[in-house]
Amino acid sequence: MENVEQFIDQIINEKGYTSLDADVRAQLKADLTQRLLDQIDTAAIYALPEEKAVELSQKLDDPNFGDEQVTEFMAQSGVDLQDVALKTMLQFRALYIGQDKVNAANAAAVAA
Amino acid sequence: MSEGLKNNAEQGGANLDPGVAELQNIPFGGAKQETVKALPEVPQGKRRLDISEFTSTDANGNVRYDNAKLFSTKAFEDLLRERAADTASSDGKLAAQMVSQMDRPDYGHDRMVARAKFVMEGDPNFPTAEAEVDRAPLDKLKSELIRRVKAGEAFEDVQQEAPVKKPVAEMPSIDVPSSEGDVETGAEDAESAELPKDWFDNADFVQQLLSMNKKALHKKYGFNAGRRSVEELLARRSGERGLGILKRDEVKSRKIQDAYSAYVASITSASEEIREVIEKDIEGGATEEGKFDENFDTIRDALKDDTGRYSEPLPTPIAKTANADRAEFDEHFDTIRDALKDDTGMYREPLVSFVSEAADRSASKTEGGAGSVEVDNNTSESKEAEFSREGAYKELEELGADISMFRLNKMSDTELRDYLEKTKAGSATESSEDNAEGTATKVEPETSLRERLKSLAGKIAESLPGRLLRRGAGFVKGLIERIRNGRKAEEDADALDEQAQTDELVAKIAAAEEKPSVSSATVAPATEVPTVDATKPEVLVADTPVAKVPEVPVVPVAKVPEIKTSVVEAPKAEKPAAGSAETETTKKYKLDDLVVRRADGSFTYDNSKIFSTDEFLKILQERAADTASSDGKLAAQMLQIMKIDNAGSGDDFGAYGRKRMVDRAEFVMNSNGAMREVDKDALSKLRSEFVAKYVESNANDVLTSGDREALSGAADSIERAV
Repeated sequence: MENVEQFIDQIINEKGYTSLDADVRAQLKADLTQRLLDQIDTAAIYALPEEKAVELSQKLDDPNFGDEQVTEFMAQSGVDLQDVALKTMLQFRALYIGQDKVNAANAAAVAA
Repeated sequence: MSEGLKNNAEQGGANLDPGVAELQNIPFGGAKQETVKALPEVPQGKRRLDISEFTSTDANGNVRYDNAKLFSTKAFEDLLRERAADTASSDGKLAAQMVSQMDRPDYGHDRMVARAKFVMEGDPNFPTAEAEVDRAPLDKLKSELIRRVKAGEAFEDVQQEAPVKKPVAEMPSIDVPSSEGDVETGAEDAESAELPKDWFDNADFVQQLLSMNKKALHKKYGFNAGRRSVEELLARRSGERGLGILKRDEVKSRKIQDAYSAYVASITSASEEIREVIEKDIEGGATEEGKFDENFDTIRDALKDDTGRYSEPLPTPIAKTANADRAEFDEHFDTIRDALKDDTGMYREPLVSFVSEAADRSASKTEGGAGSVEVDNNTSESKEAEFSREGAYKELEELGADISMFRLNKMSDTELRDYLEKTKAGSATESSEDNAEGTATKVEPETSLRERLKSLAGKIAESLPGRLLRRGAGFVKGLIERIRNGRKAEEDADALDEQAQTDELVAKIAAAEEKPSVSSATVAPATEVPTVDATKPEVLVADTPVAKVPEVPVVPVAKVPEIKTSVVEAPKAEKPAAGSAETETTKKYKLDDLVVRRADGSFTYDNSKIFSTDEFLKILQERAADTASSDGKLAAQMLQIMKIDNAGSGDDFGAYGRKRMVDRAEFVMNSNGAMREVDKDALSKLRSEFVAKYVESNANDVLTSGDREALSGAADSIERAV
């Protein structure tokens, strides 16, 4: 999967919204995308120990603290951002389309 | 995020968070220009701004954006007005709110700046109020302003001048024009741009405006205000605060004036026809029992226009429904008759009062006679019609729709029915596909999806630092506070749970020993403990720290863009009917339990205590339905805050969300940093409503400002009841 849009498209279809008007779908996609990224960012902070989160909040005020420094800080704090993002995306999907559907799909895959 | 993308983010993507657009592969501002274009000439009276004008250096020598400076600019004000029209987006909605604050005739601009600064930076005195719900959209607006400044756009003056406190103009009263409908709008006169607030006290005119969406408003009256603007306007129509939005725009004001004139003319015209019917009845001695009801066919025709279509003065939703299937509606005209009556069965507006009085006199004679049977039948029909609408809501809810949107959007019956059918069709397709193909063919198993998502998750992780930097320290601090509060709530819950278990054990021992059991009533507050209901679809039942995440929208809301997303339906606590047993046993607090007394006997309210009560929550739930009022809107927002913050707990109004709500309410009432918080007046009303309803009055109390607020709240309640 190349980008978030494809992921969001997939879960909208899995949800069953396959015949939405184009503008409605666009709005829904934008909302969901924003919400997903909010959740991933939140999850990343929650993954930090509290004292590290406090430290990060202080560092974010520093204009010299850039992308690389944040990445390094998170890595040194033991947070695997890719893993956080992946888990959150899967949870987000399960929440959106329904855990039952996901369970059924998983069970069917195992049975197959 | 790469430097190139970061630059792009600063140069475009007005409606999307740069991170979002980046991940959606939406280019910011198109391809990078190879050649440098000359900036357009700066018009007279304007100038380009230097971004350095909006930065400041802190004690450590760090350069930061100065929010107060940024938000004080004319450029920001212009941006807000521009974005306020886009009511479908979160930043547009926020902009509309801020514009309405700004347009208050007194310290509106100051208030807007203070509020925006608070949203971005929080208040050190109220750290738990820091995670403002409006932060993300305001961030977008701020980013857009910075982008424009950096792009070299020319703006008017940089800093706003100190706001001038203008005296509130006295609103002229309005006389209902004569039957000729020759209404003098005075539209050419600039002063007449000030709209008499009386107009907006006309419930039917207001209803008509609110029942129309932006397109319809434009088509009928030619202005682009949109229902949202009308709602904002109406919500602030009390006193000098009303009309700010449109008053400043003479053109729009004229349109409103014309709209009202047309409305009055149509009522007057219809009323004349109805008057003729009545007079004819009187002349013919036909005023006996039930005659007015029997002659309703004639009145029905008076409610139609020249083309035979239903029109004003019927409220637009009813007229729409009527015209959708006119023949059937004609046959069921009793429904319309009921629509013209109030809950007590008396005729009311839009029948003008003299007609109403005559009709009521006639209708009242039918009490106990055959007519009353007819009225009962009609009431049943009316209830049935209402039930079908409720049924539609229920079905939509079962299909996963957020029905609060439909309730609030005042969809016509036809629109609602169409939407329901469309939704059903989609659901049926899905269901039949499920049956035919099995769920597994539609939903990808997690194992394969996980593999496919890995690289995308890596990309998102790569861009996460950039997003965190944009969100800033406030975002992280807010989350830290949430973690701490959540932990405390859990500890409190554990303590209560332990206490409950201990009590239960003691009670069992007591019972075993055949001694009087120890009452566990003392641990009644255990109901405060959030319970997990995994069946609720909007709740993220998580086993990782991601638990406290906002709910996910499950229904496209773009169809109803005028509706504020922060408004939630709050039907759980039904307002008890007047005179019911529940009302009679309403819990009453003693005033002294909710106030802090001064030496002289006067007092101030203990906001923390008041906002923590179950009864205050009830007030919020009751008032949230009244979306036309400022306190109703605030109540809905507060419920939304509670709901969001309880995501993951399985309880919409559990302990954590309530604490958050109480903190927020306390902040609004007590904060010094943004003392003129726009929500303060609305919250005062809610508190007053609580006091009026749930606090025992004490005539010996010294009259304080708090008392006056309570009295004011009681007056509001009475006004609403009337």
